[in-house]
Amino acid sequence: MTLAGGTALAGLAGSASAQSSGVKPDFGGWLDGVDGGVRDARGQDSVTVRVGDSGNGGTFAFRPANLWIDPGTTVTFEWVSNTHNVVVEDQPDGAGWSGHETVESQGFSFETTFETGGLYQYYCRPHRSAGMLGGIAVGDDVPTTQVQTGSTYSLPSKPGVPFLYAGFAVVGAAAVAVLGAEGVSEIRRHGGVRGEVPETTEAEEAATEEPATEIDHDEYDPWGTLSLLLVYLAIISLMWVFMYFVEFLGNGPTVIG
Amino acid sequence: MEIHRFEKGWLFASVLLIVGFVATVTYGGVVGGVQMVDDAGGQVFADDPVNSPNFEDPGVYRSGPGEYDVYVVAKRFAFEPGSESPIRVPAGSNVTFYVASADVVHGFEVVGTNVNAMAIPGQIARLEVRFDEAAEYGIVCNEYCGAAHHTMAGQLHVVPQDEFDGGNVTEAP
Repeated sequence: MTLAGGTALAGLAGSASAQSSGVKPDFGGWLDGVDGGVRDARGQDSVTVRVGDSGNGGTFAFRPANLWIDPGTTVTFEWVSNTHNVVVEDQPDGAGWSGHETVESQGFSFETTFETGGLYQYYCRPHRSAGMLGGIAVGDDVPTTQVQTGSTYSLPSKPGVPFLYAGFAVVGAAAVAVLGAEGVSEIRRHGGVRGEVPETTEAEEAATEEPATEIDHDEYDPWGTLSLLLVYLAIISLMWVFMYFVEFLGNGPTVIG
Repeated sequence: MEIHRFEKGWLFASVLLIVGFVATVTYGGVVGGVQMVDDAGGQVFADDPVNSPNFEDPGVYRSGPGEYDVYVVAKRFAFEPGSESPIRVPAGSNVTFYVASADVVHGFEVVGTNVNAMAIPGQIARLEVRFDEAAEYGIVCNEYCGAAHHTMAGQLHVVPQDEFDGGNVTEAP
Protein backbone atom coordinates (compact mmCIF):
# COMPACT_ATOMS: atom_id res chain seq x y z
CA MET A 1 0.00 0.00 0.00
CA THR A 2 2.38 2.71 1.21
CA LEU A 3 5.48 0.81 0.33
CA ALA A 4 7.73 3.74 -0.54
CA GLY A 5 6.31 6.03 2.13
CA GLY A 6 6.53 3.43 4.84
CA THR A 7 10.09 2.57 3.99
CA ALA A 8 11.08 6.22 3.84
CA LEU A 9 9.40 6.92 7.15
CA ALA A 10 11.03 3.96 8.80
CA GLY A 11 14.36 4.97 7.39
CA LEU A 12 14.00 8.49 8.69
CA ALA A 13 12.95 7.46 12.12
CA GLY A 14 15.69 4.88 12.40
CA SER A 15 15.22 1.28 13.41
CA ALA A 16 15.22 1.79 17.18
CA SER A 17 12.24 4.10 17.20
CA ALA A 18 10.62 2.60 14.16
CA GLN A 19 7.50 1.69 16.11
CA SER A 20 6.72 5.35 16.52
CA SER A 21 6.80 5.71 12.75
CA GLY A 22 3.28 4.32 12.87
CA VAL A 23 3.55 1.62 10.24
CA LYS A 24 3.60 -2.14 10.44
CA PRO A 25 4.08 -4.84 7.81
CA ASP A 26 0.93 -5.51 5.82
CA PHE A 27 0.22 -9.22 5.46
CA GLY A 28 -2.79 -8.62 3.24
CA GLY A 29 -5.51 -9.72 5.62
CA TRP A 30 -3.63 -12.78 6.94
CA LEU A 31 -3.48 -11.31 10.44
CA ASP A 32 -6.87 -9.60 10.48
CA GLY A 33 -8.48 -10.15 13.87
CA VAL A 34 -5.54 -12.20 15.13
CA ASP A 35 -4.29 -11.60 18.66
CA GLY A 36 -0.60 -11.49 19.57
CA GLY A 37 0.43 -7.94 18.89
CA VAL A 38 2.88 -6.13 16.66
CA ARG A 39 6.61 -5.80 17.16
CA ASP A 40 9.17 -3.97 15.09
CA ALA A 41 12.43 -5.65 15.97
CA ARG A 42 14.53 -4.31 13.14
CA GLY A 43 18.03 -3.58 14.34
CA GLN A 44 18.06 -6.53 16.71
CA ASP A 45 20.11 -9.69 16.18
CA SER A 46 17.71 -12.07 17.84
CA VAL A 47 14.02 -12.08 18.68
CA THR A 48 11.79 -14.51 20.54
CA VAL A 49 8.29 -15.48 19.45
CA ARG A 50 6.20 -17.02 22.20
CA VAL A 51 4.19 -19.96 20.82
CA GLY A 52 0.91 -20.60 22.58
CA ASP A 53 0.71 -17.31 24.43
CA SER A 54 -2.66 -16.10 25.69
CA GLY A 55 -4.95 -14.76 23.01
CA ASN A 56 -7.48 -15.86 20.38
CA GLY A 57 -9.81 -17.29 23.01
CA GLY A 58 -7.25 -19.35 24.95
CA THR A 59 -3.54 -20.04 24.76
CA PHE A 60 -3.66 -19.83 20.99
CA ALA A 61 -1.50 -16.87 20.02
CA PHE A 62 1.95 -16.29 18.60
CA ARG A 63 3.41 -13.27 20.41
CA PRO A 64 4.29 -11.13 18.58
CA ALA A 65 2.02 -12.24 15.77
CA ASN A 66 3.20 -9.46 13.47
CA LEU A 67 6.99 -9.34 13.63
CA TRP A 68 9.30 -7.11 11.60
CA ILE A 69 13.00 -7.95 11.49
CA ASP A 70 16.14 -7.28 9.49
CA PRO A 71 17.62 -9.95 7.22
CA GLY A 72 19.97 -12.16 9.20
CA THR A 73 18.00 -11.90 12.43
CA THR A 74 17.61 -15.12 14.40
CA VAL A 75 14.08 -15.79 15.58
CA THR A 76 13.60 -18.23 18.45
CA PHE A 77 10.19 -19.88 18.69
CA GLU A 78 9.56 -20.73 22.31
CA TRP A 79 6.63 -22.96 23.33
CA VAL A 80 4.87 -21.54 26.38
CA SER A 81 1.89 -23.91 26.27
CA ASN A 82 1.17 -27.39 24.92
CA THR A 83 0.17 -28.84 21.57
CA HIS A 84 1.34 -26.36 18.99
CA ASN A 85 3.33 -26.43 15.78
CA VAL A 86 4.56 -23.93 13.22
CA VAL A 87 3.41 -24.59 9.66
CA VAL A 88 4.51 -22.32 6.84
CA GLU A 89 1.63 -20.98 4.77
CA ASP A 90 3.55 -18.73 2.44
CA GLN A 91 7.08 -17.36 2.12
CA PRO A 92 9.17 -15.41 -0.37
CA ASP A 93 10.55 -17.18 -3.45
CA GLY A 94 13.88 -18.73 -2.65
CA ALA A 95 13.32 -18.86 1.08
CA GLY A 96 13.44 -22.40 2.37
CA TRP A 97 11.86 -22.06 5.78
CA SER A 98 10.18 -25.30 6.83
CA GLY A 99 8.77 -24.19 10.20
CA HIS A 100 8.28 -27.02 12.67
CA GLU A 101 5.38 -29.31 11.76
CA THR A 102 5.75 -31.70 14.66
CA VAL A 103 3.36 -30.82 17.44
CA GLU A 104 5.37 -29.87 20.51
CA SER A 105 4.70 -28.92 24.12
CA GLN A 106 5.78 -26.34 26.63
CA GLY A 107 9.55 -26.00 26.98
CA PHE A 108 10.34 -26.82 23.37
CA SER A 109 12.03 -24.22 21.21
CA PHE A 110 13.73 -23.93 17.84
CA GLU A 111 15.37 -21.08 16.01
CA THR A 112 15.58 -19.92 12.44
CA THR A 113 17.70 -17.23 10.86
CA PHE A 114 15.79 -15.36 8.18
CA GLU A 115 18.02 -14.20 5.32
CA THR A 116 15.61 -13.75 2.42
CA GLY A 117 13.63 -10.54 2.53
CA GLY A 118 9.85 -10.55 2.19
CA LEU A 119 6.74 -11.74 4.00
CA TYR A 120 6.51 -15.09 5.80
CA GLN A 121 3.09 -16.37 6.87
CA TYR A 122 2.72 -19.29 9.28
CA TYR A 123 0.14 -20.87 11.54
CA CYS A 124 -0.40 -23.57 14.17
CA ARG A 125 -2.29 -26.47 12.61
CA PRO A 126 -4.20 -27.66 15.72
CA HIS A 127 -5.42 -24.11 16.41
CA ARG A 128 -5.58 -22.52 12.99
CA SER A 129 -9.34 -22.21 13.21
CA ALA A 130 -9.00 -20.45 16.56
CA GLY A 131 -6.92 -17.80 14.79
CA MET A 132 -3.42 -18.93 15.77
CA LEU A 133 -1.64 -17.26 12.86
CA GLY A 134 1.57 -15.33 12.62
CA GLY A 135 3.62 -13.34 10.18
CA ILE A 136 7.24 -12.28 9.91
CA ALA A 137 8.37 -9.46 7.64
CA VAL A 138 12.05 -9.46 6.76
CA GLY A 139 13.82 -6.36 5.51
CA ASP A 140 12.62 -2.89 4.66
CA ASP A 141 11.24 -3.77 1.24
CA VAL A 142 7.87 -4.99 2.46
CA PRO A 143 4.37 -3.51 2.12
CA THR A 144 3.26 -1.62 5.21
CA THR A 145 0.07 -0.25 6.64
CA GLN A 146 -0.73 2.31 9.33
CA VAL A 147 -0.72 1.11 12.92
CA GLN A 148 -4.06 1.97 14.43
CA THR A 149 -3.83 3.30 17.94
CA GLY A 150 -6.60 3.64 20.45
CA SER A 151 -10.17 3.19 19.36
CA THR A 152 -10.57 2.01 15.83
CA TYR A 153 -14.15 3.21 15.68
CA SER A 154 -15.06 6.54 14.17
CA LEU A 155 -18.29 8.02 12.87
CA PRO A 156 -18.72 7.72 9.13
CA SER A 157 -17.63 10.87 7.42
CA LYS A 158 -19.73 10.70 4.29
CA PRO A 159 -20.51 14.09 2.73
CA GLY A 160 -24.27 13.80 3.27
CA VAL A 161 -24.09 12.97 6.96
CA PRO A 162 -23.97 16.54 8.42
CA PHE A 163 -27.05 17.44 6.37
CA LEU A 164 -28.78 14.34 7.68
CA TYR A 165 -27.97 15.34 11.26
CA ALA A 166 -29.23 18.92 10.55
CA GLY A 167 -32.43 17.44 9.12
CA PHE A 168 -32.93 15.29 12.24
CA ALA A 169 -32.38 18.37 14.43
CA VAL A 170 -34.94 20.47 12.52
CA VAL A 171 -37.57 17.72 12.53
CA GLY A 172 -36.91 17.04 16.21
CA ALA A 173 -37.19 20.70 17.20
CA ALA A 174 -40.40 21.08 15.21
CA ALA A 175 -41.89 18.00 16.88
CA VAL A 176 -40.97 19.28 20.35
CA ALA A 177 -42.48 22.70 19.59
CA VAL A 178 -45.79 21.36 18.22
CA LEU A 179 -46.29 18.63 20.85
CA GLY A 180 -45.16 20.93 23.67
CA ALA A 181 -47.61 23.66 22.67
CA GLU A 182 -50.37 21.09 22.40
CA GLY A 183 -49.51 19.79 25.88
CA VAL A 184 -49.43 23.24 27.44
CA SER A 185 -52.82 24.20 25.98
CA GLU A 186 -54.29 20.88 27.15
CA ILE A 187 -53.06 21.53 30.71
CA ARG A 188 -54.59 25.03 30.61
CA ARG A 189 -57.89 23.68 29.31
CA HIS A 190 -58.11 21.40 32.37
CA GLY A 191 -57.52 24.24 34.78
CA GLY A 192 -53.75 24.24 35.33
CA VAL A 193 -51.21 21.67 36.47
CA ARG A 194 -53.32 20.42 39.39
CA GLY A 195 -56.43 20.17 37.24
CA GLU A 196 -59.93 19.13 38.32
CA VAL A 197 -60.58 16.02 40.36
CA PRO A 198 -62.15 13.45 38.01
CA GLU A 199 -65.54 12.01 38.97
CA THR A 200 -65.53 8.52 40.46
CA THR A 201 -68.07 5.88 39.47
CA GLU A 202 -69.01 2.64 41.22
CA ALA A 203 -68.25 -0.52 39.24
CA GLU A 204 -71.24 -2.83 38.79
CA GLU A 205 -70.96 -6.55 39.44
CA ALA A 206 -71.99 -8.90 36.65
CA ALA A 207 -75.14 -10.88 37.29
CA THR A 208 -74.59 -14.51 38.31
CA GLU A 209 -76.63 -17.38 36.90
CA GLU A 210 -77.83 -20.36 38.82
CA PRO A 211 -76.98 -23.75 37.24
CA ALA A 212 -79.89 -25.26 35.35
CA THR A 213 -79.25 -28.79 36.70
CA GLU A 214 -76.63 -30.34 38.97
CA ILE A 215 -75.12 -33.77 38.22
CA ASP A 216 -72.96 -36.18 40.27
CA HIS A 217 -69.24 -36.70 39.90
CA ASP A 218 -69.55 -39.90 37.86
CA GLU A 219 -72.51 -38.82 35.76
CA TYR A 220 -70.39 -36.72 33.44
CA ASP A 221 -68.10 -38.55 31.00
CA PRO A 222 -65.29 -36.39 29.54
CA TRP A 223 -65.12 -38.16 26.21
CA GLY A 224 -63.23 -35.28 24.60
CA THR A 225 -60.43 -35.37 27.21
CA LEU A 226 -60.27 -39.16 26.97
CA SER A 227 -59.92 -39.19 23.20
CA LEU A 228 -57.27 -36.45 23.32
CA LEU A 229 -55.28 -38.48 25.88
CA LEU A 230 -55.60 -41.61 23.76
CA VAL A 231 -54.21 -39.70 20.79
CA TYR A 232 -51.29 -38.48 22.95
CA LEU A 233 -50.68 -42.03 24.17
CA ALA A 234 -50.60 -43.31 20.61
CA ILE A 235 -48.17 -40.58 19.54
CA ILE A 236 -45.83 -41.21 22.50
CA SER A 237 -45.90 -44.98 21.96
CA LEU A 238 -45.14 -44.61 18.25
CA MET A 239 -42.33 -42.14 18.91
CA TRP A 240 -40.84 -44.43 21.53
CA VAL A 241 -40.91 -47.40 19.16
CA PHE A 242 -39.32 -45.40 16.37
CA MET A 243 -36.75 -43.76 18.62
CA TYR A 244 -35.62 -46.87 20.46
CA PHE A 245 -36.10 -49.74 18.04
CA VAL A 246 -35.55 -47.98 14.72
CA GLU A 247 -33.29 -45.01 15.49
CA PHE A 248 -31.24 -46.51 18.31
CA LEU A 249 -31.15 -50.30 18.00
CA GLY A 250 -31.19 -50.12 14.21
CA ASN A 251 -28.34 -47.63 14.13
CA GLY A 252 -25.23 -49.76 14.38
CA PRO A 253 -22.46 -50.16 15.23
CA THR A 254 -23.27 -50.14 18.90
CA VAL A 255 -21.12 -50.30 21.99
CA ILE A 256 -21.02 -53.99 22.91
CA GLY A 257 -18.62 -54.05 25.79
CA MET B 1 -61.06 -39.56 47.31
CA GLU B 2 -63.37 -39.90 44.39
CA ILE B 3 -61.64 -40.79 41.15
CA HIS B 4 -63.61 -40.86 37.94
CA ARG B 5 -63.36 -44.17 36.10
CA PHE B 6 -61.90 -42.42 33.05
CA GLU B 7 -59.16 -40.98 35.23
CA LYS B 8 -58.41 -44.43 36.61
CA GLY B 9 -58.09 -45.59 33.02
CA TRP B 10 -55.50 -43.03 31.96
CA LEU B 11 -53.55 -43.30 35.23
CA PHE B 12 -53.24 -47.02 34.53
CA ALA B 13 -52.20 -46.30 30.93
CA SER B 14 -49.41 -43.94 32.03
CA VAL B 15 -48.05 -46.46 34.55
CA LEU B 16 -48.14 -49.06 31.79
CA LEU B 17 -46.17 -46.69 29.56
CA ILE B 18 -43.42 -46.30 32.19
CA VAL B 19 -43.24 -50.06 32.64
CA GLY B 20 -42.97 -50.34 28.86
CA PHE B 21 -40.08 -47.85 28.72
CA VAL B 22 -38.13 -49.73 31.39
CA ALA B 23 -38.89 -53.04 29.67
CA THR B 24 -37.56 -51.86 26.29
CA VAL B 25 -34.33 -50.53 27.82
CA THR B 26 -33.91 -53.86 29.60
CA TYR B 27 -34.58 -55.64 26.30
CA GLY B 28 -31.89 -53.52 24.60
CA GLY B 29 -29.35 -54.44 27.26
CA VAL B 30 -30.19 -58.15 27.57
CA VAL B 31 -31.29 -59.16 24.05
CA GLY B 32 -29.85 -56.36 21.94
CA GLY B 33 -26.47 -56.46 23.67
CA VAL B 34 -26.26 -52.69 24.11
CA GLN B 35 -23.68 -51.91 26.78
CA MET B 36 -23.19 -48.75 28.76
CA VAL B 37 -19.86 -46.95 28.96
CA ASP B 38 -18.80 -47.19 32.58
CA ASP B 39 -15.67 -46.72 34.67
CA ALA B 40 -14.19 -50.08 33.61
CA GLY B 41 -11.55 -48.24 31.57
CA GLY B 42 -9.72 -47.17 34.69
CA GLN B 43 -7.92 -43.94 35.43
CA VAL B 44 -5.01 -41.97 33.99
CA PHE B 45 -3.02 -38.91 34.98
CA ALA B 46 -5.38 -36.03 34.20
CA ASP B 47 -2.62 -33.83 32.77
CA ASP B 48 -0.61 -36.51 30.99
CA PRO B 49 -2.70 -39.54 29.98
CA VAL B 50 -0.14 -40.93 27.53
CA ASN B 51 2.48 -41.46 30.23
CA SER B 52 0.05 -43.18 32.56
CA PRO B 53 0.74 -46.87 33.35
CA ASN B 54 -2.52 -48.13 31.84
CA PHE B 55 -2.52 -46.02 28.67
CA GLU B 56 -0.52 -46.53 25.49
CA ASP B 57 0.84 -44.11 22.94
CA PRO B 58 -2.02 -42.93 20.74
CA GLY B 59 -2.53 -45.37 17.88
CA VAL B 60 -3.98 -48.70 16.73
CA TYR B 61 -2.78 -51.94 18.33
CA ARG B 62 -3.57 -55.54 17.36
CA SER B 63 -4.47 -57.43 20.51
CA GLY B 64 -5.55 -60.70 18.87
CA PRO B 65 -7.01 -62.16 15.65
CA GLY B 66 -9.68 -59.69 14.56
CA GLU B 67 -9.18 -57.72 17.77
CA TYR B 68 -7.86 -54.20 17.86
CA ASP B 69 -7.24 -51.66 20.59
CA VAL B 70 -7.32 -48.00 19.63
CA TYR B 71 -5.87 -45.50 22.08
CA VAL B 72 -7.18 -42.01 21.39
CA VAL B 73 -6.16 -38.80 23.14
CA ALA B 74 -8.69 -36.00 22.81
CA LYS B 75 -7.20 -32.58 23.25
CA ARG B 76 -8.08 -29.06 22.22
CA PHE B 77 -8.87 -29.29 19.28
CA ALA B 78 -7.94 -32.61 17.79
CA PHE B 79 -8.20 -36.37 18.19
CA GLU B 80 -4.89 -38.18 18.12
CA PRO B 81 -5.09 -40.31 16.07
CA GLY B 82 -8.07 -39.32 13.95
CA SER B 83 -7.65 -35.65 13.11
CA GLU B 84 -4.27 -35.54 11.37
CA SER B 85 -4.68 -38.98 9.84
CA PRO B 86 -7.73 -41.25 9.96
CA ILE B 87 -7.97 -44.17 12.37
CA ARG B 88 -7.85 -47.28 10.15
CA VAL B 89 -9.22 -50.64 11.23
CA PRO B 90 -10.33 -53.62 9.10
CA ALA B 91 -13.97 -54.60 8.66
CA GLY B 92 -15.15 -57.63 10.57
CA SER B 93 -13.16 -56.84 13.68
CA ASN B 94 -13.82 -56.03 17.30
CA VAL B 95 -12.34 -52.67 18.11
CA THR B 96 -11.91 -51.40 21.65
CA PHE B 97 -11.47 -47.66 21.94
CA TYR B 98 -9.67 -46.22 24.94
CA VAL B 99 -10.37 -42.49 24.92
CA ALA B 100 -8.69 -40.09 27.33
CA SER B 101 -8.65 -36.32 27.50
CA ALA B 102 -5.42 -34.35 27.85
CA ASP B 103 -7.06 -31.13 29.00
CA VAL B 104 -10.81 -30.54 29.35
CA VAL B 105 -13.98 -32.59 28.92
CA HIS B 106 -14.38 -33.73 25.32
CA GLY B 107 -16.86 -35.90 23.48
CA PHE B 108 -16.01 -38.87 21.28
CA GLU B 109 -18.85 -39.59 18.89
CA VAL B 110 -18.62 -41.75 15.80
CA VAL B 111 -21.19 -39.94 13.71
CA GLY B 112 -24.29 -41.88 12.69
CA THR B 113 -23.68 -44.73 15.12
CA ASN B 114 -24.35 -45.44 18.77
CA VAL B 115 -20.63 -45.13 19.55
CA ASN B 116 -20.54 -42.11 21.80
CA ALA B 117 -18.71 -41.37 25.02
CA MET B 118 -17.53 -38.49 27.14
CA ALA B 119 -13.77 -38.12 27.64
CA ILE B 120 -13.37 -36.92 31.20
CA PRO B 121 -9.90 -35.76 32.31
CA GLY B 122 -8.31 -38.48 34.41
CA GLN B 123 -10.69 -41.17 33.20
CA ILE B 124 -10.47 -43.66 30.32
CA ALA B 125 -13.66 -44.16 28.34
CA ARG B 126 -13.55 -47.78 27.16
CA LEU B 127 -15.87 -48.74 24.30
CA GLU B 128 -15.85 -52.07 22.50
CA VAL B 129 -17.44 -51.96 19.07
CA ARG B 130 -17.91 -54.56 16.34
CA PHE B 131 -17.45 -53.22 12.82
CA ASP B 132 -18.91 -55.67 10.30
CA GLU B 133 -19.13 -53.41 7.27
CA ALA B 134 -16.48 -51.28 5.63
CA ALA B 135 -17.41 -47.62 5.99
CA GLU B 136 -15.94 -44.21 6.54
CA TYR B 137 -17.16 -42.46 9.65
CA GLY B 138 -16.59 -39.01 11.01
CA ILE B 139 -15.64 -38.48 14.63
CA VAL B 140 -16.78 -35.32 16.39
CA CYS B 141 -16.32 -33.77 19.78
CA ASN B 142 -19.77 -33.14 21.20
CA GLU B 143 -18.78 -31.42 24.44
CA TYR B 144 -17.98 -27.71 24.18
CA CYS B 145 -14.22 -27.54 24.79
CA GLY B 146 -13.13 -24.06 23.74
CA ALA B 147 -12.80 -21.50 20.99
CA ALA B 148 -12.32 -23.96 18.13
CA HIS B 149 -14.54 -26.73 19.47
CA HIS B 150 -16.57 -26.63 16.27
CA THR B 151 -13.52 -27.71 14.27
CA MET B 152 -12.61 -30.64 16.51
CA ALA B 153 -13.25 -33.64 14.32
CA GLY B 154 -11.57 -36.76 13.00
CA GLN B 155 -12.00 -39.71 10.68
CA LEU B 156 -12.50 -43.42 11.27
CA HIS B 157 -11.99 -45.62 8.22
CA VAL B 158 -13.24 -49.18 8.47
CA VAL B 159 -11.56 -50.63 5.37
CA PRO B 160 -12.35 -53.94 3.65
CA GLN B 161 -10.20 -56.75 5.03
CA ASP B 162 -8.38 -57.41 1.74
CA GLU B 163 -7.41 -53.75 1.50
CA PHE B 164 -6.15 -53.51 5.04
CA ASP B 165 -2.36 -53.49 5.03
CA GLY B 166 -1.96 -52.98 8.76
CA GLY B 167 0.63 -50.33 8.11
CA ASN B 168 -0.65 -48.22 10.96
CA VAL B 169 -0.95 -51.08 13.41
CA THR B 170 1.39 -51.92 16.26
CA GLU B 171 1.37 -55.34 17.89
CA ALA B 172 -0.08 -55.07 21.36
CA PRO B 173 2.61 -54.94 24.05
